[in-house]
Amino acid sequence: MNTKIQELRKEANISQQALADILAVSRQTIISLENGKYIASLPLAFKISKYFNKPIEEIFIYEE
Amino acid sequence: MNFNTAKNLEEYIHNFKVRTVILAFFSIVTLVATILSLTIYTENSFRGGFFTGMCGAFTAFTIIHIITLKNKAKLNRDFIQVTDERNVEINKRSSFIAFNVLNIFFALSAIVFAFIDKRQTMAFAFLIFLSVILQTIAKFVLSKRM
Repeated sequence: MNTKIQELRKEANISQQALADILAVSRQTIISLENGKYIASLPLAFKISKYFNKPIEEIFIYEE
Repeated sequence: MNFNTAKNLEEYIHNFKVRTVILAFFSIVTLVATILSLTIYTENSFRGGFFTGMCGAFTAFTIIHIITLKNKAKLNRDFIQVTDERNVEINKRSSFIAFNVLNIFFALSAIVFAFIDKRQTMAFAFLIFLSVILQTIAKFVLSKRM
């Protein structure tokens, strides 16, 4: 699973800590999500999608 | 291990206060036990040392909890740490690994002690049996809830 979280975060000019605070998760979770080490749960994916105002499939790219 | 059930910060603070009261209660109980062990029931020195250690630990935890309760920022950080979904997942996986490693340890110990002491083997076999029973009950309960 690849994500565009880092790209979108940089576009929005927001730090990892600030994004973590908004989403009520730890900064380490944001780092892991950006690195593709951790796959977000559906509720968190929706939160991220809502925050960046983009559809989920545009942020999370599923590769078989 | 994470026993957090709070859905929001207010609930977390409430649970934290309840935990502080419970810790304070155990601090008092162990303090009384320590005093009794060191003054009246002095025949067993191990008991005195045990209760002194327990009392020290409970008191230290109570003080830490009271200090933390006064620090809203720290409580908020702690709440995020315990509710963070990645941390919850890590806790689940580490508990699963620990459970399996412990059972393997019990099984190996039961085999080794079969050559040395029958009672020890029975004890380890009982622990394996108990863990299997508990897992079965937990699975049953969770399958009804999910």
